[in-house]
Amino acid sequence: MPSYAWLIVWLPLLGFLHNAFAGYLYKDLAARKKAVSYIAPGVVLAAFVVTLAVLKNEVLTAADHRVIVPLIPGLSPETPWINIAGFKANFGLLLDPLSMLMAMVVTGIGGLIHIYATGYMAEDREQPRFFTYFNLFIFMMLLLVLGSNFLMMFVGWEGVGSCSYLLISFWYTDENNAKAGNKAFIVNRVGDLGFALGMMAIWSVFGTLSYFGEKGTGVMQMAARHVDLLGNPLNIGVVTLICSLLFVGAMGKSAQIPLWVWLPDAMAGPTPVSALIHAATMVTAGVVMLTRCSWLFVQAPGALQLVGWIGLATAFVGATIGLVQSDIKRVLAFSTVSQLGYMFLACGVGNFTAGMFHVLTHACFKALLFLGSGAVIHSMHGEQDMRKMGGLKKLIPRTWFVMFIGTYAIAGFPFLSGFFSKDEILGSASASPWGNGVLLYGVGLLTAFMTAFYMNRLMHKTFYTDARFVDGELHAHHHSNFDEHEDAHGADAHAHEGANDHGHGDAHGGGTVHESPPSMMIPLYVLAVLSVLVGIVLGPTKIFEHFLEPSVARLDLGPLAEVTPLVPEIVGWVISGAIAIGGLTLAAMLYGSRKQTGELTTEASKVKNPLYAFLANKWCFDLVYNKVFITIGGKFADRVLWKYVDVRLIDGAVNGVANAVGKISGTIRKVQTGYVRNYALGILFGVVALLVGLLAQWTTLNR
Amino acid sequence: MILSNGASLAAIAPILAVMITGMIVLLGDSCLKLWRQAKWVSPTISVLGLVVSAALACSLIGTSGQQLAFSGALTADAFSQACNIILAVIAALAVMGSATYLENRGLQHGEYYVLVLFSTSGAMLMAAASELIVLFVAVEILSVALYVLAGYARTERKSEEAALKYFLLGAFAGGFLLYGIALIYGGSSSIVPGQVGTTNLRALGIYLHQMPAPNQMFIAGTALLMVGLAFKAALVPFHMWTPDVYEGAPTSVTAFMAAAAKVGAFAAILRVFNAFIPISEYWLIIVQVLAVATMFGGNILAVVQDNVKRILAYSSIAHAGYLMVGISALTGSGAATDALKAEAHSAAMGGITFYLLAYGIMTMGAFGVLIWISRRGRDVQTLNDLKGLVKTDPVAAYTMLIFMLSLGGIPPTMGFMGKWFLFYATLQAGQLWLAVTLALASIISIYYYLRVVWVMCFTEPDENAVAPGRAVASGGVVVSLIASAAATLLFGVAPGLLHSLMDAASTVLRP
Amino acid sequence: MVEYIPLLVMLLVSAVVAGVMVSASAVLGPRKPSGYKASSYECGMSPVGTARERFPIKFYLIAMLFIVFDIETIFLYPWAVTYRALPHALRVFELVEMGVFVLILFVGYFYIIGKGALDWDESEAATSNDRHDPTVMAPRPPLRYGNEDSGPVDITRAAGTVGAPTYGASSQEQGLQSAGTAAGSVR
Repeated sequence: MPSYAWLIVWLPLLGFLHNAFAGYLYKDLAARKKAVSYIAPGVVLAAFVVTLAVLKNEVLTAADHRVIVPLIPGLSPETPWINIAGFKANFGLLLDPLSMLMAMVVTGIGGLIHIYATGYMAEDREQPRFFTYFNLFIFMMLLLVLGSNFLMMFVGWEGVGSCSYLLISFWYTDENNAKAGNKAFIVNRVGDLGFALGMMAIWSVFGTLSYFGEKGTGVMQMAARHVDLLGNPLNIGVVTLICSLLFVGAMGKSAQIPLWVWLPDAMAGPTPVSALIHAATMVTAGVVMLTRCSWLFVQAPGALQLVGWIGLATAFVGATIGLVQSDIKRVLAFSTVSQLGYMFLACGVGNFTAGMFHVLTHACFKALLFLGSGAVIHSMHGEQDMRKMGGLKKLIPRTWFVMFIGTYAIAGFPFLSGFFSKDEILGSASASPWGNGVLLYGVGLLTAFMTAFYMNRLMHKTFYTDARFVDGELHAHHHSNFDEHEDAHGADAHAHEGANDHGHGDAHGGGTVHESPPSMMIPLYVLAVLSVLVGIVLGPTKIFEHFLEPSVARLDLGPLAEVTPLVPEIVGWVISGAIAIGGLTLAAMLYGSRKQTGELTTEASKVKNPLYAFLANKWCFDLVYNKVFITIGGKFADRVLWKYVDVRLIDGAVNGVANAVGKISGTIRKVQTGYVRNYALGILFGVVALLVGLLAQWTTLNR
Repeated sequence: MILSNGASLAAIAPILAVMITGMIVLLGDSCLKLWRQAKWVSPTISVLGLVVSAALACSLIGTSGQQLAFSGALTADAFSQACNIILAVIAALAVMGSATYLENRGLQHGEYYVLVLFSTSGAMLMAAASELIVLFVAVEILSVALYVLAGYARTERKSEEAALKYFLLGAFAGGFLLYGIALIYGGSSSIVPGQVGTTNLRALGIYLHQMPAPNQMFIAGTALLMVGLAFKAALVPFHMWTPDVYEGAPTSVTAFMAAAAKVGAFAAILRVFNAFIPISEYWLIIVQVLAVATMFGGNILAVVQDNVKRILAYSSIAHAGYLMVGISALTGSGAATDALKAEAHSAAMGGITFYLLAYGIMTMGAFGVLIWISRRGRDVQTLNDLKGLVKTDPVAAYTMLIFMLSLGGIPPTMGFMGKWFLFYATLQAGQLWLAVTLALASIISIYYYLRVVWVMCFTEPDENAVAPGRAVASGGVVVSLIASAAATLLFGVAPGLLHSLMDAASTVLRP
Repeated sequence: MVEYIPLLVMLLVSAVVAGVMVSASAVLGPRKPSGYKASSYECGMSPVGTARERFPIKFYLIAMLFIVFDIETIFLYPWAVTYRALPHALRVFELVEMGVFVLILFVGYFYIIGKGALDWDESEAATSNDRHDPTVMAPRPPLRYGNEDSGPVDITRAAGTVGAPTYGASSQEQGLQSAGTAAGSVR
């Protein structure tokens, strides 16, 4: 039976092509936007349906729940993509529980976010461009998760990076957005270099890049047997190097310390982008990659430990910074950083399944939160600063409701989805194979407490405290390429300077707060239901664990062994629940008592507080990077590399050669007279040269 | 395996398909009024015939192996089928791209397509010929049709001049080719048992392998044979006709000529030099000198040109140089062991085949863009005409960009992969210096390819030049362009899809 | 040596036949000399006068077509001779092959008929498509393969007039010629 899995990948690409060429297909902007708003979510949802069908008909029926099918229908999965010098990479799609899970997340939650975005971006003049990138992102993400080898993952990896860049700076007329895009791209370069090096190392050790191959020829299969290409036992040091390099890649993509600085800035993109790319899917690619390579990682305890520590540090640092943010999306951004840290913590202690479970639940509730915050921003006509919000519960109760569910889910309120996945991670952290379980568990709990606190802080500042704006006189913060006011705004009057007073915004009812349209609300309801149910249905029932089992290596495959957790599961639940409720309650108490301002202290006292300044400065990461890489590195680049190496050495050589070539060219072109007789003479010259040359060679050889 | 005569006919079915299509179009166009009046019939039938030919070749490529047809006069092996596919693709692209161009200039006659088909069949025969006499006949079938095509715009002086120049020089070089064949026949009498000479390449390969001691006459014959083929392939210093002829001929003809003649010529060169590998110590250095001279000559001369057709002409010369590097790699001269030599040989074979297809497609594409934007009135030829194209016709500009990048060998295009294959083969053959030279020469080439891009994208449209309006979609040429651009990118990203084509080339064994 | 005797006989016979024909016409023919008759015979063209005279190109066309078909017909003779020597198994194939060859000749024949290449009279050619073909009927620009003041015609200088080639050399190359440094500019 032919596989239909290729459809999953090709459908979004089709959508991408349609959207990209929409300008040629439809002459009129309205028609174009309308077509795009149906096609773009349509293809993603269709891909979701195909994913479900493939999962049921092809994956669950296969032996080991693992099949490799061709990317291009009709070809064999063994058809090489590249076949040079013994280097082979195939065009296959690896269908197994892990890839199907991610495909479902990408197309399912991605589809919902697409629907949401049709509402959110409806007024943007460049809506087709937005959905072009969006569909392309889905395509690349699917390549990343479904590809059957590292090279395809790398293509997807770079592809999602590019889409992320394009979408962060989607409103590129604002220089800050363009800078944020650049920052994301450049920081990711560092990680990608690690990934690429890791890939090369894998190639040199295993002689292939395929995860799984026939007769155990895949990287993972060899790693499971603890042998390399030639059948020699694996060198632990080499595997540790490979895993560390791959993890550097994951650090970049998944915003881990020290490469996490781009993610908060990435919130400059439209909110659906933050939800889809910078919360639900792309940033979890690192976790997916680690899980995909779990066979390698369990053989490299050193690398695993590194993953664990980095994850823990990121979770903690992210949460602390989240405590002091005042931009609603930035709170969520730091929360994402922190939650990603959790996922890596899980991987680091060898419980990849828990990491992936958190990926799944996090995708649901973080998408919900981002989209909810997007709805809030939409309702507030583009305002993102929580200091200028408040009291929205009465004005937009439905948005409040979904945000409420999202908050409780991420905080780990008992029996919501975040509770189960986080508890699983904390439980396995306490069972750390290195015996540092107490520390990991303790910091993990502290972070969970902070998460609950800052999330409820967000809820209070936004929804419960008194309104700090006048309803009906909201200023629009729309971006320059929003439809109606293009001329009035010009290119530079946009978002954050947005003090414009020419009575626009009538389309939204005169600057009043309003509930979002159904195209935005329906995805929110679906995500809210998912945030509630996913955890309890899949977690305690062990459905998820069993489902993912064929894709994940067991820790005891390597030199490590599992340790019993510090506390039994039930006690762990109680502790987790208590911590979550504690955090929520503390925030409720603190902010509930300051209904009017929504602030704990005055702005003045905040500035004076060194701890606050430290956190608000994001632990000074950006400052240090600026100092080291931009200032010092920039000076070095300017004074040494540019003035000497570039200008004198390289430019000198290049220009010199170019001039020489030009001169030679001008000289020898004179031979080209346009006269046939001269050309014939040229041929004759060649004849003589060839005859003399060959006969001279003959004489030399036969002397 | 020597095929019976009947089986031989079946084995060259792709070539026959092209010839028969040519005759059908010839008769239909001259004898049927309706056919003649409906301008689309001839090109459509031609494309259909070429598609049939390519399909036949595809179906035969897997089973061909090492077949000798017509008592060894033709080699109907997988390599020749691969060349058939490449040539059919090129010819189909050319036919599709021509219709609009000819229509605009009142040149739309059935004979055009007949000539294209006949010269295609000639090129196909060149790829299959394993008898030097057949090779000569094939060269003439290709060339005579091309001479006429070059002068197809009969009312234009440039076109007439191009045809005459091409014809005179072609006849001159053809004489050397024939003389070379005669000398080889005479010279081989000393190495062929029984004192009778031969012009059969396979036999020559076998004899030379057994006794690699050619006499002077044989060597002189080799030199002259090389001259004849080098003229067809436009190697320096036999290249001088190329820019003039390419410039003068109608653009649609130039495109076809650049691609098909080169593929045919290199297929023949490959066959000849493959047979002569046992005596490579005699000719290798000459081939390498030719390769270097051609790479640098073509690229350096292209730098100062202002006419895009001339730039592409010199670029085609440079590409011939790259392909000669592949021929040099065939010998595996620097490889240590026989196994490594065989590996280099098969890498070079695959590389050359891939490169021929890549070259064909990207050349057709680049000229196709010129055809497309000159569909209103005057020919677009000079860089001046291309100024600011990105503003006046962005799609054409971006398409041109793809082909320029590909010709320059920049990823992710077919041109890059092709160069990489050749580079790899050269390294396998242990000819490091040649590989480095290849890389250096391509660096020069980037200059003039990007110059075209620069002119298109970073200059303002010239008031005086023909400001091409937005090109309205015009059937064939659009299909041809889309197909070439898509193939350039697709096979640049996934060269593995062509692995059966490349494997086919490896069936040509070292003698 | 003996095998060359027939050749010698052939030579003698042809010499005798030619001699007889020439001398017979000289001896037997009536002599009424006129200006035209006294002039040397040049295939029906006036031998004196400008060499640039126009005369119907059809003349050449017919001659060329004749030669093409003539030579191809001659090819039938060696085939017929070797056909006898062929083993029976191959005869059918060879016969079919010759049939194909002749068929191809016919394709060419029908083509030239279809194009009206054999119609001498222009009025008869009205049915041919050349009539409707603007390029064929369009007045051609006068080509000057060497004109009055030119010396011996150099046809290798293709469509060129007296000076530089019409193109081929790009502008700089041409400029160079006018400077008189290139060999090409020296006539």
